[in-house]
Amino acid sequence: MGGAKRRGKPAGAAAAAGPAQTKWRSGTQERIYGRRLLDALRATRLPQTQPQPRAVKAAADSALALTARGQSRWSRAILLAGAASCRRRVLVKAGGKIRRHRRPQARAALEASKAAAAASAGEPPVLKERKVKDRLRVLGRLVPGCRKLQAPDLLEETADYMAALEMQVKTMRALADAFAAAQLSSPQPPSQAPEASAAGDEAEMER
Amino acid sequence: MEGGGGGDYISSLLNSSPMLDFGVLDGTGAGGDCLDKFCGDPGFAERAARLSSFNGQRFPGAAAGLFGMPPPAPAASNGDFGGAGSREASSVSDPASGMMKDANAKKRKASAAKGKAREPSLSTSGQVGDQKELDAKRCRTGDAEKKTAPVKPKAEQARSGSSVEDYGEPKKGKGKNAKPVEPPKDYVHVRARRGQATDSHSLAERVRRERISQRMKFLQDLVPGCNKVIGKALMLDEIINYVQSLQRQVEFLSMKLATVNPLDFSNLPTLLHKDMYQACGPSASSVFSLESSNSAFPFSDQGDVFQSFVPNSMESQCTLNQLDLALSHATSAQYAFQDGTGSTNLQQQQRNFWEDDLQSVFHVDNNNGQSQDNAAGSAQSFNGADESTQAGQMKMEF
Repeated sequence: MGGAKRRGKPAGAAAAAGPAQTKWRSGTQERIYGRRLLDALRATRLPQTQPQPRAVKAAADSALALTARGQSRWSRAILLAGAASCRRRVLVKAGGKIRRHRRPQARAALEASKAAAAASAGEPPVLKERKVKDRLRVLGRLVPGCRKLQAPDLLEETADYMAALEMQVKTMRALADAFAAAQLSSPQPPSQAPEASAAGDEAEMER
Repeated sequence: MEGGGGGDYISSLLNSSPMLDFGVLDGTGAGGDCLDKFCGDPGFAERAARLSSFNGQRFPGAAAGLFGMPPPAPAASNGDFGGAGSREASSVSDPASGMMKDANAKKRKASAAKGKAREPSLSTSGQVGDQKELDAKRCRTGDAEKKTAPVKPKAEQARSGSSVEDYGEPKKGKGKNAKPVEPPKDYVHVRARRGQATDSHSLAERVRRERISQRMKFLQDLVPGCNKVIGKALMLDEIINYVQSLQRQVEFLSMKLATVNPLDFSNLPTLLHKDMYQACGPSASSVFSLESSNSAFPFSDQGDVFQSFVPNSMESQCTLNQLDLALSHATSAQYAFQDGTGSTNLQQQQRNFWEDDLQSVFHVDNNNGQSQDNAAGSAQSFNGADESTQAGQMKMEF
């Protein structure tokens, strides 16, 4: 598929940075991801149980990683984490690392390092300073599979991951809106509750 | 600049670049010593100057432009050397600068997309500056050359495909000046700049730093609102915040989808095509058994949601039904993503499905009757889906 074409591993930096953005912003990727997402969502909905948000998110992230065709480190990490081990670990890690617990820790670490840097006023403005290193570490924790990655590769993975996330958000939002619109016009009683929750979610997201 | 001591330099310049076909000046004794050291000098300084302003750009044609070009008419470059004293100096430096100008031209073509506005200013500054730099670094480049040799294997492990890799070709090209562009090596050739350490460590580090800064600039374009921020730490802050906010949005949307979903897959067809067909039962199993003609419409609606991203054609609408029939086949197998052991097979199944689907996208071989029905059906649903996605896209602009 043309949209997923990308240069191989040992290519130039400048060549790699560009296609990441254009690749994810093309409509073809959105379509591919949309279909994969629908498929995954249908799969998560076991007929008996209610779909949990974690499962939905795991499915969405796995679909995203699949759309990336495993050409980036984070997508491989997500796919491998999903396929690797038992059910429990998949549920927790399929979103790529244990983000739930890490994120407050990451923010706390970030703010702590910020405070420390502000306190130490006499630091020379060297290019690779402790603050930058701290932030790079935090970023490595955010992007799945990029914890022990050096700065240039980490930044490249971040660029690709960001573009992919943007596309994912866009697609999921459209899908959710379509579903919500469909439910609004539905005469069925359960549409009231999801409607309220949808409005609440939107308000929470738009802050 | 080139006044008194230029004789040695000039002769060495001539000796080092055989393409400079003068025959006017003979190499003096001093020139012979500097032969090895200055073999790459005509291009060295201008490339060094370029290194400072073009961070990590590729100039594959650089070396070719430098040594493959015959000395062109130096008339254009005469004005640049206002300080060039002797006539010999000017006649020597002109072809060199002329060659460099051609190299500039080649580089202009090579780096078409980037930094074009900077090229004209750079060429002049590079030519004016290179004389000074060459003078100052006459003895130091000898050391730098010898030291860049250990840099190569050291940097080789670190990176590949560096943007500065072509710079080293004239440096090594003592006997290779006549060659056209050598195939780019895996490792990095970096020149020491004026006033900077020529240590092999610092050279590699400088390359690494340039690479990092280049990628930070790219990230700056990607993250909205990062233009005002200057400095690595603050920019990384912004990037981290943005990634976290995106991940949070994904979480919220997945929560929303989870609450919205359970009823909709059976209701969606009815909701969007109330007049088209009768309502399906609100049971999940009905979703998976949609292989009748009714199934053609519901899945086309879901596909339309995403077709709005792309200007859809008749072909895509038609093939969607085929794809979605395949999808229903897949889902009827009722695999779950929670099943870690099975997911690899399923993902491979998925990939196989997708590859078949994607091939079918380009090979549109569908019935005419089906296409007409889909066109009529999806035309009505497209407006509704379009509005919802428009709203979604507008919300995206936060």
